Amino acid sequence: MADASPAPSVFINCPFDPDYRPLFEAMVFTVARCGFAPRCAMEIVDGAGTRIDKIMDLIGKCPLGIHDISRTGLDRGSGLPRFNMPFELGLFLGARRFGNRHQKAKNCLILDSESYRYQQFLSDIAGQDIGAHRNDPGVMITKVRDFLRSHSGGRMLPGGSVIKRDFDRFAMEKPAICDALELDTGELTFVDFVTLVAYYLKPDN
Amino acid sequence: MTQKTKQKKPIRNGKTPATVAGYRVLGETRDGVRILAPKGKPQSFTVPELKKAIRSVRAGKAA
Repeated sequence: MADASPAPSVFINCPFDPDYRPLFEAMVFTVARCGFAPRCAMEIVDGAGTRIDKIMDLIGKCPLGIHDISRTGLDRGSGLPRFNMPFELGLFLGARRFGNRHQKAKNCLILDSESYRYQQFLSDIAGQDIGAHRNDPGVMITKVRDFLRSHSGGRMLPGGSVIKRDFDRFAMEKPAICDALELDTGELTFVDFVTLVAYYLKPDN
Repeated sequence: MTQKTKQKKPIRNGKTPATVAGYRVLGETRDGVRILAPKGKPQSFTVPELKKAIRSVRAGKAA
């Protein structure tokens, strides 16, 4: 039996570096715990075709997006700014502006570390739904949950405190699960991590 | 002659769909949220290995 619910894919546009990892994990866990499917450019394994085409295909398939622009500062190694996140946000907004009726129905949550900080480097996005996570995974969970709640088609979602409790338990058990898999937690790819979360949340494991 | 029909074991209750918008439903949490299987395949482990690891950690905690 198939369900005709709207596509639950959520495009996640965020960094994937060790400093950001706790926020990333809180965001992805919340998306999965609310019954949506996290998707990300990092799931694309470069093969045939250009990466940008694959990213645009992925954006086209996702009616919802979560874009974190808090790490657009200079890269420590190269000293150059990181443009991928604002670029993917621009693609998402462009799809909504110029796409067909499905694309025009897109919605996104834009996150930064502090309120109104974006006005200093990306003032063109003023007027969008922009939230501040204050680099706190608990705040990230609440922001993401509240955004998904308003696009859940009336489905009931667990509250932020329930998701936070589940996430804390997951964060405590994850190192032991990775040990059992003989993996370092830092070695998990995006798809590895999403799979780990999904099967962790699966009832009757 | 009667033909034997193989009974399929139900894996979820009748209310839970097998797929949602092309995503396989892994199951439903106690608060009614459907957990969806990711589209891609993990690169660092297999799903049976992962299930075994989760079970062993939970069993260790319960012991």
